[in-house]
Amino acid sequence: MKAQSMRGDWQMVQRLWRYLGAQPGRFAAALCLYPLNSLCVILPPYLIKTIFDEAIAQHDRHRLVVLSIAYLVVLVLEYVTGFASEYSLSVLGQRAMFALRRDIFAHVQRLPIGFFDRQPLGRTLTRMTTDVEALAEVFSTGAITILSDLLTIVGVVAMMLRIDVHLTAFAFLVVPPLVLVAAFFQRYARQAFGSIRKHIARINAFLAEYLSAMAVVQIFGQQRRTADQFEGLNDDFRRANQQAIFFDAALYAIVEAIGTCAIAALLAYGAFHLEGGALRAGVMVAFIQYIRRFFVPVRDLSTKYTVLQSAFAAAERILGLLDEKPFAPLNQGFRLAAMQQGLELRDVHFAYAAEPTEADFILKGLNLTLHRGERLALVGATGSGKTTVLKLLNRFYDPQRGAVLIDGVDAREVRLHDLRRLFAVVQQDVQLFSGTVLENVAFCERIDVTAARRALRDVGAEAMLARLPRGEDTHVFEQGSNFSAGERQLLALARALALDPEVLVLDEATSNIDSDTEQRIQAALDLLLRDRTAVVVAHRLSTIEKMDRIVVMDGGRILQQGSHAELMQRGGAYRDLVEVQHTAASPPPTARSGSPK
Amino acid sequence: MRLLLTHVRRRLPRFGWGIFMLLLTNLTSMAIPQLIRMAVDLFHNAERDPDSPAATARLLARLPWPLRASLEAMASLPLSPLLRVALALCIVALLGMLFRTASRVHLLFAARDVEVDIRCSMYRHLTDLDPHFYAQHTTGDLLSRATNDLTQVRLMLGPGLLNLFNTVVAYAMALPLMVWMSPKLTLVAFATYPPALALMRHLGKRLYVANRTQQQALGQLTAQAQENLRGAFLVRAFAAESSQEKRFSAVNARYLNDSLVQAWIRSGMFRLSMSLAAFGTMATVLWGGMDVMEGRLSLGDVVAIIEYMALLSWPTFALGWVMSLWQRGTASLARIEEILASQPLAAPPPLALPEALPASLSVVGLSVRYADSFALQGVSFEVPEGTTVGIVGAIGSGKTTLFMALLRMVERSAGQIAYGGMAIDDFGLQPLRRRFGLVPQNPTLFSDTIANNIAFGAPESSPEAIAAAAAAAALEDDLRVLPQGLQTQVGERGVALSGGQKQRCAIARALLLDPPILLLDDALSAVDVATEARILTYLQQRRAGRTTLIVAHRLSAVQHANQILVFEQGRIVQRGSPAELLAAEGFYATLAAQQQSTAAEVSP
Repeated sequence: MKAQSMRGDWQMVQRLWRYLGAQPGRFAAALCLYPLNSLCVILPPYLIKTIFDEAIAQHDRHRLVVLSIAYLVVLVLEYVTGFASEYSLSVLGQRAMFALRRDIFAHVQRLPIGFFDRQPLGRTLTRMTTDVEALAEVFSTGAITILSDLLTIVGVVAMMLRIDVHLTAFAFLVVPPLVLVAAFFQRYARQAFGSIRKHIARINAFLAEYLSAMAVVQIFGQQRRTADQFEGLNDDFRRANQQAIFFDAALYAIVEAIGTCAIAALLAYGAFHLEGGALRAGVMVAFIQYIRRFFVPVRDLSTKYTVLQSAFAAAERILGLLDEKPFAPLNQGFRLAAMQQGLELRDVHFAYAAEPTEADFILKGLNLTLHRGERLALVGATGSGKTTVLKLLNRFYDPQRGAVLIDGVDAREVRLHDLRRLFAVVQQDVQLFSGTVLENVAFCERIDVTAARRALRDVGAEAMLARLPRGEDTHVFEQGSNFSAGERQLLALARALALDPEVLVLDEATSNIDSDTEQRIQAALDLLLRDRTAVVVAHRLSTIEKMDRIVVMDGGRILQQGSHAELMQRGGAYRDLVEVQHTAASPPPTARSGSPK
Repeated sequence: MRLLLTHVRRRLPRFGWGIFMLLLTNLTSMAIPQLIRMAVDLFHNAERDPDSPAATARLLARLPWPLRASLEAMASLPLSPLLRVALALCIVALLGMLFRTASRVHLLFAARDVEVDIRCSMYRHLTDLDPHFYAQHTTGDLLSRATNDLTQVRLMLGPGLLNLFNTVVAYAMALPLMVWMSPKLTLVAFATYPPALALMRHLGKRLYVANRTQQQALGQLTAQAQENLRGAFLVRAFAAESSQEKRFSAVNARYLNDSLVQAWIRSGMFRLSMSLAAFGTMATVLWGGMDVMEGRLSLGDVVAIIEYMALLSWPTFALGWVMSLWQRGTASLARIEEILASQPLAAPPPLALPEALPASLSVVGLSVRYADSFALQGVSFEVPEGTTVGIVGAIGSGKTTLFMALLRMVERSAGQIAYGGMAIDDFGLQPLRRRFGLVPQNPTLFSDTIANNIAFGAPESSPEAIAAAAAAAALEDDLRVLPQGLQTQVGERGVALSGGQKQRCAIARALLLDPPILLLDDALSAVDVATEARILTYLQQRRAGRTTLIVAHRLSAVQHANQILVFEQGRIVQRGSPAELLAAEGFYATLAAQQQSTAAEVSP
């Protein structure tokens, strides 16, 4: 089990290695600077020992001056190499993270849309931001320097041994208790910190939820109760913190005390070997400083280990995202400039599930053709498969059986980008981006500013723009909250019009709009539908009846098709549907007679 | 600042103990160089004059009084002087460990306590503020003040205060000891500290700015990624992958650049100052060495002074950090105080009222103003007890505002509202709101069980009552399908309910209260026609003789009302029974005609 996870870690490092290996120069620099820095960390105490025991004890003024200057130089070098190694590592790491973020983003653009149905948005966002940050912390906190810390520790021990083997052995009597204590407290501190994170997440979630619903809390008079509930969460948080603080403080204090005890051990050793002059002042000072230089990396080891651990966890999640299979290459296959004949769904079986059972199938052997220039309405109950048809046409999904054909060619053989560029889609929920109104219409590279302006004018958005403080340069707030549903829909229509697409797809584009706004939208829609191939899913009869052909769907199959007039005349599902709507939507006769109760 | 003082005062004993322990900790730290000094000189003497009692006595005499007394007290132990020093060192280390743990625990606990206290009082205060306040502050902003800003305040009080006091105490103790041993060396040792500190402070400010810029860039990066994920469908539909990548690349590059600037200052700042300070260390060794050769100082004196410098190096350079903690902490504190200083618009004036008032409403000349435009203007109507009023009108015509005004969630700019003949201003806010049950337009469910969500306004309700309310809201069929029925978790970590299910939960929540007046704000928009009919039938049966106000877009929801009010741009433009309005020309008749010819929802 353990070996397996080690191997997994190793594979992960290998995959991430690409990002560091791409900068060989910087990597080599960081690789050389760290040992140099370790060397500079080891030297000063040795120089102090020489100064005390050789220069001062021998009353050698000249040597004192020379060695003091050497001491200063080494100290400054220690800081300079420390800076250079840390900074070069930061550059290496940050550039690697830049490339990683770029790759994740590009990868996410290529994932099938089904991925987003499955995964909550927040989770993917965390992979792209917080998890990369956790990985970057390896470089910014120098956690990756654990190896060079070990080098420093080895160097310190080597120097101590060089000065005095017995003394070193004596001083290191304290190392086993140090390691034990550190291991013990760190385990508890880590648990405590984990529990803090959990509690703070609960507090954040509570605040996010209740602050945004404060009106409900107030209307229902639950201020006091929710405050008590919140206090309970905070008390748990406080308790978790107290544990962590205690373990952290105790660890810090114990490590400090053990360091002092190590000095006491030196003295005791000296006391027993007083005659031989074994412990000279310089040796003692050097040892005190070495012990300190030994303890600092040992103490930091745990913090760095924690950073590494969370980085490994983050890397695993990031690689998990990168392992998600992309939908299809965007730029491979037959080139397609325009649609000549039309689209066809041939014996299409489709289910959203990855390994569908019979019950999962939304479309069951659907055959449907759409000729160029024809305008088609899809009608049917929720779950009849209307929206699914739309998503198969511009290849958001591939059918499990059967095929979608464009001009007689399987859509899977056509370059995905070319295929999707034939379409413009307008949905019920309009997606607006941060930026100005104009930028939102000119949302992709294919729409230039002139086309966007013309489209805004053509859909009749002028009155709306005139009302805005800065016209087309007005900034759109997050989620377009400074625009009404109707205004957002108007922008979406302008966006579609600016694209001047071969095929227009409307997915319940006018469902959420009140009657007043609909008048304006309707004019824009008529303009958009003129001389165009279109597929429309709509609820409003006024939209449906204008289409060339109406396809009534039920349970993933076609029930009826024909023009409005034909279907009304023929009778059946469509006419029933229209009639049911009339009775359901209009006040029944009892209300007219004026007897409400 | 006053806020902080109030809360600190509550935890004063903790802070006091912490600071007292900090004093003791520093006392033990100060003893260590003196003991090392003693030991070094003992060794030195031993080399020349092994174990001379006279020399030992002379060395002892140089120690500060408490240490001398302690070592003399140990004289009876059968130990050599050096071993006695070693033992003393161990005792000091042990005491230091206890004091150090205690000081950190007390001070950091106290800071956490203050953090938690402020956060709880913030939430309590926030529950009193009205929608006017919430319109001006986004949830994200408030959340950030209650967490990030509070963290800054806590850091200022915890590590900030700890290190500040530690520095002051350490200097106050170490400087006299150093001067006492050698004024000249003390001066030499600290010669380069002022420029080093000035540099530290300067770079500290730049680091603060660099950190902020970097955080802003990270914020932009996150926002961009979030937007892209939210628009995943659109990006694909418009084949806009490459323009999205380009956009992201720009913020990604900015973040890289800001990170590198930050890394440059962060890696350089501390080390540059330390390099300056290194001159002092070197000078101490050099001059100290000279003095030892000339017999003015003992070897132990020089070692002790070097040790004191090592002891002071962290407290000194932590000052830069403390300063920035203080800066950020006070800025954050101001942002928190701003929230706590916000007052709710209406101070509830309590007035003794009879419990049993008729559930009737009388609205006269009601106007509500938002910023520069009227949401309601001169609205007057009467609702006799036990009647049902339907309210229709286009989006933005003031229907929701009317409900908010009834509940005193918004302030009126003119007009009077009376409940059961009493002005609603004479009720306290809570007693007034308890008389209403609102089903809002966008129902809010909390991350909790469905049962607790339904019982939100009446947490003490029996399970039977909750089940009955759920049944009344036509939730039974849905509950049967859900894994744990009423006990199913919804929201963030639970099941995602459909819009219609959420609406029906909100209806159940209001019905459970059995309120004198029920307010339905377009509460049936997301349920299908058949379910709507079921709920309406229930309401007609069970709330017969009770007062109900229904806002609706589908006329089927208001067809049984006694009275219909048609709103347009904040005014009532038509009123009458459904039959009267159907016969007359206007919004209602037009809407009825439209809804007849429109397939408003396709559900066979």
